[in-house]
Order: sequence, then C-alpha cells, then structure tokens
Amino acid sequence: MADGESIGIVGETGSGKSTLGKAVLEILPPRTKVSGHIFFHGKELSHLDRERIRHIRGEEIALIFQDPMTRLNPLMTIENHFIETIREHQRVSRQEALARAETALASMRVPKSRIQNYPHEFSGGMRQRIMIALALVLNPSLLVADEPTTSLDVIVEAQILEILEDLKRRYKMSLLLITHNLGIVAEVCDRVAVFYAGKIVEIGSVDDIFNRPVHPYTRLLLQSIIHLSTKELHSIDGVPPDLVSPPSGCRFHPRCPYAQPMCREKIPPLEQFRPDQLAACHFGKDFL
Amino acid sequence: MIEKRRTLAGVMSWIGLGILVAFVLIALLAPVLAPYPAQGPYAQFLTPPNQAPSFNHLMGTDNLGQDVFSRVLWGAQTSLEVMAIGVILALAVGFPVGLYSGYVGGSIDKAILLVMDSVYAFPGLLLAALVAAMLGKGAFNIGIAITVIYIPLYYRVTRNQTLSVREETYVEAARSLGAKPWTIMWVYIAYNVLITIPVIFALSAADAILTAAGLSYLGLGIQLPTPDWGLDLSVAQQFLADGVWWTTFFPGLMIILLTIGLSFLGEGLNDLINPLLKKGRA
Repeated sequence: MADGESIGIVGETGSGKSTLGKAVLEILPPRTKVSGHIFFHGKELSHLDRERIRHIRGEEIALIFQDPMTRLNPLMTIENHFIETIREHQRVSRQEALARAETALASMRVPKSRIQNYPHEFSGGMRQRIMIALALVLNPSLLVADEPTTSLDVIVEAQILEILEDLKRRYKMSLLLITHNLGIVAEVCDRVAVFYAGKIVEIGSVDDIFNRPVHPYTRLLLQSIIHLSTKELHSIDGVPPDLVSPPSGCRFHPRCPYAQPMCREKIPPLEQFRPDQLAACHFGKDFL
Repeated sequence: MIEKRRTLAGVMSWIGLGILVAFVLIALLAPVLAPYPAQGPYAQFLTPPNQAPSFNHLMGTDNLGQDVFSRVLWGAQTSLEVMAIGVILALAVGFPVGLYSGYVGGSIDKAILLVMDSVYAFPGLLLAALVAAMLGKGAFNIGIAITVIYIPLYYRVTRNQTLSVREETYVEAARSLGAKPWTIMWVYIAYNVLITIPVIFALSAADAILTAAGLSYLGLGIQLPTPDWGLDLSVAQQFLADGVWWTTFFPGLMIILLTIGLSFLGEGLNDLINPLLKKGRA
C-alpha cells in the first residue's frame, strides 16, 4: 500500500474484513491464533513490543469503527476523550491538548460550544464525526475505516465520505476502507481487494475490478449490486463458509457456478492477470 | 407503573438519607444535645439505678445509674465511626483489587477470586469475631474486623461489573487509539463500574451496623465504659426480667432505625440507578 493511497476491502458479512482491520492494530482478542505478517513502514507489527505498538495505535495508524453510538465512553465528555487520547501519546498541557481538540473538531464541523457535552447528547452522524476527529487528532499516516457509514443514513453517509475524500487530498493520508458497499468503494478508493472466507480472492484497481473482474466471486458480487434499472435481485446461492473448518481447495468452490473437480483439491494461488490485477482462481484465464 | 416505582424509590431514598443525616447530626452534636454535658459520656452513679423514663431522664437510667438518653446519643458516635471505617476501608481495598482482577483476567484473576471466595464463604459474624479477637478491642479494630468481611463483597461486585464493562466497544476504541492499560482501567472502566457501588455501599453499611452491634453484644467489640448500643443492649439484658425495659428498648430502637434508614437509602438508590443503567446500556 502506497502513501496517500486508498484501498477498499469488500466482502460478505463474516468474511474477515473487520478482523483484518483489528489485526492491523494488533487489538484482536487475546489468545487469537495469528499467522502471516503485517508490515508498516518497513517494520513488522507483530514483532514490536507492547509499548511500541501502543504508540503506533492512534499516532500512526488510527481505526474508526462502524458503530459510533457505542464507541465513546458514556461517562466522559468529548473534551476529556480528546485530552486523554492526546496526553497518552505526547507530553502536552491540557490547554494545548484542548486547543488541538477544538481544531480537529472544527475540521469535522462539530461546533466548539459542544465540547463539554457527553456522547449521548450527539446524533449518530455527529458521533461518527467526533470519532473521526479523535482518530485524526494525532495525524496518523494510515486510517483504517471499518464500515464507517453502515449505521448512518444516506445524507450523513455522503457527508462522511466527503470528509474522507477531503482528508485524503489534504493530508496525503492512506486509507484502508472496509465495507460491504461497493458503491462507496467505487467513489472513494483507488484499489479494491475482494475478501472471501478470510482470504483475498482478487485485488486490483477500481476500474479493473468493476469493469473487468476475473474471479467468479467478484463477478457474482458485482451482479448483486442493485441499480435503478434492477428488475430482479441477483444473489449468490449458499452461505459464507464456516471459517473454523473452511472448505478444501478453493474456498469458494461449493458456491461457484464454474467449479471443476480440481477446485475442490487445489488451493488457487494469487496470480497476475493484468498489470495491476491479481486473482486467486484456477480458471482465471477463461474469464479475462 | 415505572414512573410510580421511580417515585416510590425516590421517596425511600430521601427518607433513608434523612435518617442517616439525622444520625450523623446526633453523633456530631452529642456533646451539645446530651442533657448532662458536665458528666460526659462516662459519668456514672448520677442517680439511683434502673429508674423508669421520667422528665429528668427521658429514657430512664441503667443499672449503673447512667442516663440512657445520653448514652444513646453518644453511642451514635461509636456506631457511625465503626461503620464508616469498616465500609470505607472495604471499598478502598475491594474496588481497586476487583478492577485489576477483572481487567487483567486469566490466572491472576482466578487466584484472587479463589482467595476472596474462601473469605466470603465464612459466616460474616464469625470471621469478624475471629479478627476482632486477634486485633483486640477498640472502635478502630472493630472497623478493621468489619472491613475484612466486606472486602470480598466489594471485590465481587467490582470485578463482575469490570468484566462486562471491559467488553464495551468504547474500551476497544480507546485501545485502538493507543490508551495505556492503566488509563483504560482508571479512566474508561472505573467510572462505569463505580455507578454500581452506592447501592451496596448503603446496604453493607446497614449490615455493618448490625455486625458491630453483634460483636459488642458478644463482648468482642466495644468495651465498657464506652457508650455503644450493642454493648448496652447486652448489659441491660440481664435486668429485663425485672421489668427494666427501657435500657434495652432505646439502644435497640436506634440500631433498628439506623439500619432501616441505610437499607431504605440502598434499596431506593438501587431502584433509581438500575433502570438508568439499563437504559444507558440499551
């Protein structure tokens, strides 16, 4: 992932999108089995000690969540959320922390006069803007947004997306946008990774993925988007697999309309099909 | 229906609080209120012993000729002192230990839980009697003995509430913003746990009054000549058969009144706070 780039992660419920977001910050529940590597600015995160990773959280990588209604401490004022967060990372006075909080909130168009209010006094959209302000107050270089608009209505959703776009442009911040809404991805992201059963099945530029998908799952996912002209809803038959005992071979084969015997046996590797497009399918060439 | 319950709970809390404040005032103003200030709390043989209540002695006199009314007033000091020491120390120990235990979880939590549960398994009065016998007499030591009984209670309530608050999404959010474990515990979790404490604080205070009185009654608590309701009750008992009812009746009445007041306060707060808690969580 390049500086200032935004990647969208799409996939069904339970395909491991949010888990990925939490893995980046190493805040998965204790005793979670972890494999693989996450590199950030050339350092492997899982090798860092707890104090280092704590500093990365918030200061370098920030996470915003899908449920803003419950992400703020109900017994703390907005002001204190900011002061606590800033002072966990930097030795600054309360006044200075407060001043930075006001700036951050102002950029999210939250009025200064409400800084001493408690979370329950705000609407969902405002709380999400406060969460974003809180995530950005330390100027992280990567923002992980885990379905930031799922629980909000469309008008607020549009506002939040506009804010994310703006941040990208102004601060050259990288964005990892986790969502199941393909429309949002098309609007905000440069590249898309399609997740299925905890694995990337296809990754490429927004243009390639939306117009020239390779993997059958991506194709079916795109077909299921509802347009104004939609007369009939397309859905993918079956349910997402149980990740405790995932299917053998290609994890999508039980639901894939093109599945062949070899799909059941061999795990397909991620292969390059176009300059910037990779997919994990044995028969990817047939779909080009 | 709910509104009605809330009003009733409000009335109960106010009555309870009123009784508690009245007792605190009695304790503080005992030197002023007592009708024979010159003699102080220990004065004896002022008048003939075992006199029925009269205008001179509103609650009569006891076997040593002491004014029962004076002793009842002074006794409020002893009871409140023992109660305050007992529950405040229990909170001061039980709350942080519970918070830590619930937050870190795992084998540390299990170990602390085991110790606390084994203390909890003892009958309260027996344990207090044991500790009181070891520490010796005096209001402060009795307070400590009571502390030992209530630490596991505060620990348990705090730990269980911590376990549930720990899983709240705002705690995860704080973690994702790089908050230190210490901050998460004391800033994000502690306040949300603390709101469940006033109720058990009031209820355990009521219980502590009874335990303190019980210890004194058994001769393990406050010693003569210090005025104490439980102790006076115990001494007066042997004269009950002679028709001397006032020496037991009035100290007993005070114990009951204070206990009822604290229970009202606790139950009232419970009814007031719990719906709020549930509403807040929803």
